[in-house]
Amino acid sequence: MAVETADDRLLMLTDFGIDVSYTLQGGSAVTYKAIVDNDYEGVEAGGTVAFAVSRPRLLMRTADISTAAEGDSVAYEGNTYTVNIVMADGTGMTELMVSKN
Amino acid sequence: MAHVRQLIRENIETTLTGLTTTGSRVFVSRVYPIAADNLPGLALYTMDESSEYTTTGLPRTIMRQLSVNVEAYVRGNTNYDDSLDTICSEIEVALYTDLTRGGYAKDTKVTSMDSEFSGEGDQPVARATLRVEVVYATKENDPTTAV
Repeated sequence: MAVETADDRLLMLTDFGIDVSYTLQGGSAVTYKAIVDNDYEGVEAGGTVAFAVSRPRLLMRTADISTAAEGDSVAYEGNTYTVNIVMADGTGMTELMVSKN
Repeated sequence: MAHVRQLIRENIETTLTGLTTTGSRVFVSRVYPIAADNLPGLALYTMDESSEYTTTGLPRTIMRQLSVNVEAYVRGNTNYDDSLDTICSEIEVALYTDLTRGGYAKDTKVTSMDSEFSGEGDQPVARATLRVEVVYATKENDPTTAV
């Protein structure tokens, strides 16, 4: 059970997040707040060495994107990304794994 | 003088440098991760070698079977599987142009391929490894000269 309200979550996103333009498949773009992570990490694919690539993730309010699904698109900072995995945490926040188009 | 194994590794590096898809992005015995701007690229490793003594009179002749891993790394939203196969094709054709590896080996064979994929990055990445077996021989007291 969540201990904070949707407004509390929006305050956090407003403080630490940026505006992103989220488009459901077949829908129109809507601007929401999201915390964006884009760490550079080693991604293993079974080789002797890893890939050094960035791993973009977005943290958003579940209430904003309650029908989010794989294949949606989200744009920010001049780039557009495709949503690959939607991970709602069950307490009001959803993490999105995205790939750069 | 360099060990024949090194000469073979260098021959493979030269042979695989300049391929259509991977160009000059060929890394030998690389230990650091490969960044996106070095993709698609290749990494070469001499992994292991088995030896058999084939003569009895000293110095004996050693027949060696060297395993070389040629790893192809690609990144892209689509067709990364096709890209791996294209690279593998280019590698196989290039290796076949001289099975003696510049005169240092008796034979070169591509004996296996395996691949793996990941969606963890900002775009899908994929890796294929071609296992290349190179047969060469030296005298036991002179590993720098192929016989």
